[in-house]
This record gives sequence, structure tokens and C-alpha cells, in this order.
Amino acid sequence: MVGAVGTHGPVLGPQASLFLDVLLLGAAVVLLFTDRRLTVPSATVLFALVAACAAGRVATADLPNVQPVSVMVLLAGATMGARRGVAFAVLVTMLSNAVLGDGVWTIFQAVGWALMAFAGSKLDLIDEDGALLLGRSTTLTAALAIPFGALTTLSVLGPDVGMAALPALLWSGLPFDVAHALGNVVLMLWAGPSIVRWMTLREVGDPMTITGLEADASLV
Amino acid sequence: MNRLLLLLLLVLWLPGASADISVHVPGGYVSTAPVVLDDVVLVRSSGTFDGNNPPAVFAYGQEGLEVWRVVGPSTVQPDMAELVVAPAGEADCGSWPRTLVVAWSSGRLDGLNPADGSVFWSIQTEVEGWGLTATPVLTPSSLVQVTRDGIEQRCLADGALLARTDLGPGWRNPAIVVNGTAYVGDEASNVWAWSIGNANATSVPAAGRIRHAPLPLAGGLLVHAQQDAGSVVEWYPLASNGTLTTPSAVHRLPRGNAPGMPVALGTHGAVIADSSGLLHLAWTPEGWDTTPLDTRSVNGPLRVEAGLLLGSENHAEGGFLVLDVASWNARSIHGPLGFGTAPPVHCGDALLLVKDEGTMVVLGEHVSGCPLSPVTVEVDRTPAVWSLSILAAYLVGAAAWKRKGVVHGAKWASPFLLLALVLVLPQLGAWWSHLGPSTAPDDVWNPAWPSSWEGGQVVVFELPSGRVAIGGLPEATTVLEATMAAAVELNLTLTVEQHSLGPWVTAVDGVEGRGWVVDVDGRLLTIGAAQGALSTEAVVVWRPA
Repeated sequence: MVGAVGTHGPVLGPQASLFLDVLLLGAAVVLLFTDRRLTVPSATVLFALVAACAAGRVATADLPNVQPVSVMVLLAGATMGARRGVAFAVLVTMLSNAVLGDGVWTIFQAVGWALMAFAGSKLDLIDEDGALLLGRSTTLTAALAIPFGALTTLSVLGPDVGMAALPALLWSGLPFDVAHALGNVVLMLWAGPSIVRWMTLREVGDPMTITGLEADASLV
Repeated sequence: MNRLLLLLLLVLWLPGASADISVHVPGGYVSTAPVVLDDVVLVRSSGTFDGNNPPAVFAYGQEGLEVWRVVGPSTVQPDMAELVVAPAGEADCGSWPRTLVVAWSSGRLDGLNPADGSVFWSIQTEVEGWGLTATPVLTPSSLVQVTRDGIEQRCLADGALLARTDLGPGWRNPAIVVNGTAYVGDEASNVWAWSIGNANATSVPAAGRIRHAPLPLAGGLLVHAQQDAGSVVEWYPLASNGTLTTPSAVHRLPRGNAPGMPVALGTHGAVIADSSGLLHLAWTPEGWDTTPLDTRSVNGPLRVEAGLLLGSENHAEGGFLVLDVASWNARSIHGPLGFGTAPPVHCGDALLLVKDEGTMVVLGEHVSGCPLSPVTVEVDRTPAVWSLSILAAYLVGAAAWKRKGVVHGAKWASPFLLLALVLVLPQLGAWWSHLGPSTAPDDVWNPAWPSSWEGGQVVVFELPSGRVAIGGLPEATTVLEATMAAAVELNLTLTVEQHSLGPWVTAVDGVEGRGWVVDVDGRLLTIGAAQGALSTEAVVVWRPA
């Protein structure tokens, strides 16, 4: 949405940017450290996916409002739970905006994607066998694009763009929100199941502590 | 099916192929430089020695299509006089329109209409083995033509003879006119001075045959004379009344075979060429300061144009010389190879190259400003692509739905729909925003603005240093167009970056701030500036975000 306006809202100075980064990073760290289920392997997978997702967002930045992050955070919430999903959303936003540009909008985007991750964790998108419920997930990721667009539009508001402009901004942003939704649909349908497999770490025993054929099976 | 669609899409997306433009000039050798004139390129070719092809002058237009041609009398001598275009003018003998002057080796001298090749006038000069091989020379009021054995002043209105005198036999020996005196060399090793209109010319002996126009330099004339073996550069001081004196001994410089036609660089510098290469000469009272520039063989004219020294390398594998005059660095260019004497000529933002064998090439991709450039019509393929994408989405989606259900159908249809939406989004966004709610204030007109701006478009920039406004500009159709015009008028720099949604103004007069927003008639523009349509009385206000 904000791309359509031609401005993202206030750019932050160095000190404000530092404060914002500390705030977001702190939130992500707290969320991860309070997650008692987090193990070193799962943390490794998480950070690898954060890097891949941020890179994907940067790579698709020229496509108007196509946001692969939305699908990733939704599925991160669904597979890893609320804490890790929200931390994932915050870290991806920070990392990608370090390249694309940092500002007040980073907070709005981080909050928007964190809410998507939270929604993913609370709505049953994975069946008992660990498979993605594709129809439900696709519908959800498309629907969430609209409120996400509305939320990030708020970042434009400031001293020179008052609340009176908000209806026009929201209205003008709708085609771009539809692009966001459609992009989410494409990514979910084509890559959703694979993303879920990447995000779902199989819990296996440490092969070094198991002997014989069982150890070989674990290493496979 | 999918492969077919993919192939179709790829074809539609392919950028237009670009290649050098080339034209084959019929006939014999092309030894003279083409002339770029308005919307045509003029070039001449000699007749073939077997007499099957007469010499001719051709005019080529867009995409190298022949616009007109004028055929000259058949001879077995090459036509080596450059084409000359005389601007419209008048003198005591009459007035004339812009005229293309063509000197033929058959001895004919033509004044042609460069627009269509029609003949304004045509006269015949004497022939002894050959006729005219020297390039015509223009003076403010007449034409000076070196003939086979003399020199003539003619009226440009009708070619009528105004004055004439005999000289020695000549070959490709144009004159140079300085303060009313024509200087010319000949095949009998003389340098002549003719005060135009006098009955007789005077001469001093030269070191060899002179096949170029003497070069005015440092109050004298530089001559590069050809000898049976090698050549000699000489400098002839001119007396205060313009008469020639004996050549300066300290400026005598032996050089290689087959000299080309030298070119002056400033008042005291020149570049000469021969089979041993190019040499820069700087005149000093004690002699020449010499700087070797290149070892390639150049036997034709040198040309200085747009800061480049240009020449043609004259041997079987010869290319072209393009040297930067400021640094003398050679630029590498890839054009036709072979014998040739015609130097490259600028044609728009490209170089026009031609060798003896007659293939004329415009060197460069995406050439603009050259008459030979093809007509470029920008075709917006976006509608075709998004239309096809929607069609593909329907076909592929429906087939997939039928086979495996609705999710599978959506999976196959969605990428095509996304492609269509991304392509159409800028236009869709502009259209959609106009349907939306408005927050426009009642009146955006500032009473302090001049009344002459009323009824037109006004552009305002709210800079940190204050508010600046301009009105009365030519009507613009988009916000960006009006903004750029206003910035030019107000002498403000505008930084515009390309974005997927179109151009994006990121700074005004170097001020980036937190970004810039724009109001049109008091309403925040929520689409790109290039998409924002303007009414004839719009007020555009750029302000920091």
C-alpha cells in the first residue's frame, strides 16, 4: 500500500533507528529465550529461514506489494508456535528493512507480520499428520493481506498527512492489497507445503548416543 | 500448451533487437566522407572502371532507404571531390537557396537542390584526362573551384564564371581562401597564390606534388608534399600582403609515403598523416615540436569533430582511427575493413563509416539523431501480456480444476493472474484512486500569485528555505511533467528514481528529508507522479513528508 503513496512516512534519524532496532531485537530475543522448547537445531533452522525469507523479500522488492514474508510468517507461526513465529516476523522485518530502508514503517510492518504469525499459531493450519491444510491456509493468507495493508498505511500518518487523508489512502491502497493477497496465494499454493516441511524439524535422538542399527537409521 | 504460452510470453517480452545500420552504395569506390544534412545522408560513389556503373550522388533517409540519386557522366577517373553544401545566400551576381555543390571528374560542376537532387545549375569545365577532382571551396559570396589546370570563381546563384586564372595541372588539390587570396598546390610542385579576381596567380616551388588544400598555420601555410619516395612537410610564411615567400628551412620535415590531408588544431598546431602514421606538429619559430600519435597508415583526409580526430586506415585490413584530441587516446571501433580514405562522420550520436568498397555503416546501438536510424515506434506490450495472462489463467486454471479440484485450479491460475495484476497495477491504481474519497480543501489558489497564472497550472515547492511557486508554464498532462518543467524554470534540481511503480521524486533541490509528498488541488496524490493526471488549472504542491 505505502508504495502507492510514494512515501513511507517519516524516515528515522540514527538515534531513533538505533532505539527501534534495540526495541525490536530485544523483543525477538525475549520471545526466543522464553520459549522453553527452543533447541539449538531448531534455532539454527529458524535463523536460516529468517535469512532466506529476508533475502526473498529483498529480491522481490520491485514487484509491487508482492510480499513473500506474509506466507512465511504465517507458516512460521503455524509450525513453530506463537513465540518463535512472532520472533521470526520481527527478525525478518528488521533484516530486510536494513537493506530496503528503515523508518517508522518498520514498526508497523513488524507488528503486522507478528500478528500474522500469531494468527497462524492459533488457527489450525497443520493437520495431525503435520501436513499443511492448503485451502484454509491459502484463504487465510489472502484475507490477512487486507488488514496488513491497512495497518501499514497508518505509518504514513504524521504532521503533514492527517487522519482526514486516511480514507483516501486506504481506498487507493486496495489494488495493492489485492496484489499482496494474490502474491500470497501463489506462494502458498506453490511453496506452502515445502515451506512447512523446511520449518518442521523432526525430533530425533542424538545419533552419537545410540548404538548399532538404530544409530544408522537416525543418521539417514 | 504451457510451453507454448511461455514461449509466447518470452517473445512478447524480448527487447527489440538492435544492430548497426548499413547501406550499400552502388557503383565504384566511395572515397569521400558522407554529408549528414537534415533528414538525409548524402554520399557519392565513383563510376566503376569498366564503365558499367556511372558515378552518382545518393541521398539516403530512414532505415537507409534511398531518397534520391543523381547520376553523373561516366568516366574512368574516380570522383574524389567532397560534397559541399552551400547555405542560402546572396551576392552581387544573384541569390541562391541552399545548394549542394558537386564536382565531377568528368569536369561537370553541378549546383543541386539537396532536398530532391534537382538541378539548379550545371556547367562544364575543362578536361585533360580528368576534370574536377578538387573539393569546391565556399567563400561568403562565391564558389572557388580548382579545375584541371586552373582556378575559377563562380556565382553560387547560377554557376556563372566570375573570374579565372591558369595554374599547373592539379589532382585532388582544393584551394584555401585567406583574406581574399586563394592558395593551392599542384602536381607540378608549385604552391600558388591567386588574389581572387586578378588575371594571374603567382607561385613558389614546392618539394613535391600537393594533393590537399594548404593549411593556414601560424601566419603561413603548411603543405605536405608528395615525392616519388616519401614526402616533405613545408611551411610557407605569408607576407603581410598575402604573397607567398620561400619555405622555412627549419620547418622542412621529411616524412613517409603517400601523405594524407592534414588538419589544423588551433592556430599553431596540426596533425599530418601518411603511410608511416600520424604526427602532431606544433609550430615554433625554431621548427616543429612533433608528437607521434599513431603508426597506422592514413592517406586521405583527417577530420576533427566533437573533440575527436578521425581518419580512415588505408590498406586491405584497414579500419578507422578515432583519437581523443584531449588525450590522444585511441578509441577502438569495429566497422567495415578495407582500403578507404573517407574519415568517420558523426551522425546523430553515432559514427558513420564508409570504405572504398561502398558499404556505409552507422556504428552504434540505439542510435538517435541520425537520419539513417530506423523509425522507432514504442509499442506498449503490457496490454497484450496481461490479456494473455488472464486468458492463460482461465485455460490452465480450468484444466487443472477439472483434473484435480479447485485448489489445484487456483494453484495453476494464480501465477498468471498475479502477472496480469502486476502489469496492470499502475494504471489500475490511478483509475481506482480517482474513484475514491476526496479530502480536497475548498480553495487552493493563493491570492498573492500573479493573476497571469490564473487559469493555468501552478507548481509549488515547499523547501526548507521557503515556498517557491511558478505558473504560466506550458500545459502538462501529468504531475511529473509539470513538476519537471517547473523545476527547470525555478532552477531547482530534481532527483527522480525509477521504481517499479514508475518515477519517484526523492529529492527537490538536494533536499531529501523524510521523502516528498505531493498535493494536487489540495488532495494528496496517492499514486505515482507520472500517473497523476492534471487538469488545465491544477495546483501542484510538493512538500516534505
